Amino acid sequence: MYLGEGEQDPGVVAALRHQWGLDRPLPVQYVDYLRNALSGNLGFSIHSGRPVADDLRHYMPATVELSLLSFVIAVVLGIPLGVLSGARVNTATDHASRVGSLLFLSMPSFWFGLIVIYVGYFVLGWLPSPTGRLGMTDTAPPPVTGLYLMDSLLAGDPGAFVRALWYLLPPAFTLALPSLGLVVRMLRSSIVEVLGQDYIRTARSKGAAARSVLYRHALRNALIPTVTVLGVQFGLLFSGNVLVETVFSWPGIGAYLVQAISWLDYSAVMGCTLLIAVLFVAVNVLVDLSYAALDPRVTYG
Amino acid sequence: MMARFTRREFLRHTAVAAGAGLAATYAAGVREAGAAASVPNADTLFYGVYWEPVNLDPHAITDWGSMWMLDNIYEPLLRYQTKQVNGQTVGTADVGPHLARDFNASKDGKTYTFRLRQGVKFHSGDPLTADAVKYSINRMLTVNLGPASLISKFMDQKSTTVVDPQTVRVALTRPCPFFLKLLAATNTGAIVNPKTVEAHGGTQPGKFNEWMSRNTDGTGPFKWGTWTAGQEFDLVANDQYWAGTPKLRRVAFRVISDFATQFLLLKRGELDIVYRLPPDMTTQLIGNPDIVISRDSGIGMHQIYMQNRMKPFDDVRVRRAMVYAVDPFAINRAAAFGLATVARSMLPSGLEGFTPSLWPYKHDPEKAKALLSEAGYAKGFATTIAFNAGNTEREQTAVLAQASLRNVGIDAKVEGIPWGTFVTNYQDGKMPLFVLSGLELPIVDNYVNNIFYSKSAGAKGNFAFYSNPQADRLIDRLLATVDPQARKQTVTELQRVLNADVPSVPIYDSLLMYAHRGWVKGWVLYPSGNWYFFPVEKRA
Repeated sequence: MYLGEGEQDPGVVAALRHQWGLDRPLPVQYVDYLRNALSGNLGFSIHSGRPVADDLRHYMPATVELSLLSFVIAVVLGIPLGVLSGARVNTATDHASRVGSLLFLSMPSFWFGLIVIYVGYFVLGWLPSPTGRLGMTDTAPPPVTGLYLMDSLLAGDPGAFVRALWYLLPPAFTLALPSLGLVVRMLRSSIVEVLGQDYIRTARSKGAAARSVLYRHALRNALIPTVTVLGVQFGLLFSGNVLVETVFSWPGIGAYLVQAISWLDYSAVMGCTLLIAVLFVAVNVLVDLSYAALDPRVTYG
Repeated sequence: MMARFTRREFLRHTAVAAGAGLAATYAAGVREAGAAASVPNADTLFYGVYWEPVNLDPHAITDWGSMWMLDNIYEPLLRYQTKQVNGQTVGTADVGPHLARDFNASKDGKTYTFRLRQGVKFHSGDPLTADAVKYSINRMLTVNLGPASLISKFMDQKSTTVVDPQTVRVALTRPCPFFLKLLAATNTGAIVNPKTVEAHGGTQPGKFNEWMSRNTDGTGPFKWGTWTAGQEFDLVANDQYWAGTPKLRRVAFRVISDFATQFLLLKRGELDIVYRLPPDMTTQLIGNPDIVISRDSGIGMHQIYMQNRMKPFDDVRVRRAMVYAVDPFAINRAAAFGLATVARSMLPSGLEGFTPSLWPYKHDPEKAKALLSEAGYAKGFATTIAFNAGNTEREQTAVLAQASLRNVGIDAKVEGIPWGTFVTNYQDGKMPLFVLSGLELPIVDNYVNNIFYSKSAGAKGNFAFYSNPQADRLIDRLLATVDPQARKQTVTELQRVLNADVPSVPIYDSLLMYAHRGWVKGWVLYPSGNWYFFPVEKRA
């Protein structure tokens, strides 16, 4: 599309360059960017016409909601499956869970997303339409936090909560699969290893119930490597859902990033990257802190 | 060549693999959706899009997404008319009265008088007056962005006078044969409400109005509704519309960036209409009883641009060899599934003065080889054809051209480039060959001035960086010529020059293509590419 451009006035161009600080040396521009970023000013997005920080605030809740739910799915399904698999080594359950988790782990999640949409939505008509956070005719709950699940509860509208959850489940499940596979495999091998340890034999010989041995003695010790992996995965969930968001028309940071890249919108791309990096680091700090809760030997002075 | 699977291809391959087992279920699913078709949500049109508007200030916009919104919010004095062809309503490039009840032109083609329609109100309730028309025209000239670029050559701030509250006179500084057509463009001709504009920052030279870039107050059948960035935006019916209440209460645009998803949603009947699905998906919809494919030729050319300043394309013999080497019919079959109108001129077929009989080329590899060896490239050369990644129509075109070029000894690499980089590259003239299709106003002067004038080289539209003083002279002459016969002669002469020079390889007229549910009635295609949702309706 080219409807014709106005004459480019060199004066206007120079004024713009000055306004955007493009006439200063690169190191100065960089320091300026850092200083502005620290005060929450990430620059101006050329494709949305708004400050990047505002855009990120706008797109963030959708990504947070999606990532949190897929994290919950990965943990809630992954840990029991891993334990089950580890406790029943080389049984049919174990084989099934190992093959399944390998499949989940190795399958590109956007591809699985397409299968979910094609079969679940298009052919069978069981799943909600891939139209983002709600269906065509639904209206969003009054915005408070931007998280639809939270907002619908705050508005006292359980119907809206169920609807929002319904639309959230397919992308969240899709996004969760690789993490789920990883958790199952990690936990299984840790459990197998821990179950061979001396203290487990001791626990058993003193007559502790098999259940108690598994959950109180084995799981707790086996969980530490899994938690480390979960921390990394949690960071990846935020950054790695660009494709899943695109496939499900999910209006999150990933979708925004894709738009920004195709518009060569550098401020927006840098803003997204910075945000993802900060989140990644923050989550990993939290993970490190959680070791203390799992393992009394770990203390932070 | 892109080795990677696109997501869409993945979907298609998956569908094929799962084919046998799913075929029965699939058919049943589609029938079910069809049978339940008692037109769901009949008062809302669901439109699947992958873009969002950029700016809602009509006198500043240059992008189609914004234009399509404003087509329904702001109105010009005149508008492109429709005609009946085989019982179907089709849009034309001829203008007729709209906000002006009638108009007349002086004999010398310099003075135009418009009498306004009575009882037209802005969305805010203020009446349309001659003062508003004068204000709007002068605002467009003061803002002086894209929409003013051509018209400002023919008028200034003093041109428009208010005769009486319902009559406006425009005295041009020199005759302009396409003045009325320019005035019919939504951005150039939009009538805004002076009270609203002045209450929100007014008009500043060279700048759009911040408030107006997000808010509107027009006279059109729809008002701007809510806009949730990245998700949805909508147009809401204006019950006070002068031509009657719109049948649609709402036009809801859903941002769905993946075409495969748009395709599925349309098939399930959740989307009512989508624009320019990739041709391979469109052909899958042909024969579907629930879906109508509307297509027409737009004012624009799907073409392989050659960088005229770059070796070897600075040699006209090489450019001619390229035109002989590439088979536009084969590309039409592969990239547009035979739906497009193959080029017979450097001008799109919808423009005034289009003369296909002058076109000297046909697919002829032998002639191409002869021309190449004459130019000193008997052994051919290596080059690259670029397209914007994700556009399957352009990718197909590049791939087919690659095969044809190999037959004449030219070794072309095909390269998909992200949109932003692609635009920068072609505006700066950095790519030897690239595939692009445009859409322009139905005004031949505007078209040739943008695409072929040497001073428009680069971002203004002459992406081939074509420069021929003879062509420039003819374009200058055309812009100053009013007499229809003389204009036709000038356009013909210009086509002779362009046909000889072939600044690019024209393939076919840009394809306007919509896929919509059968229950969408009254959707009319205009060669100018505008979207008018009045009087569209949904019914069985």
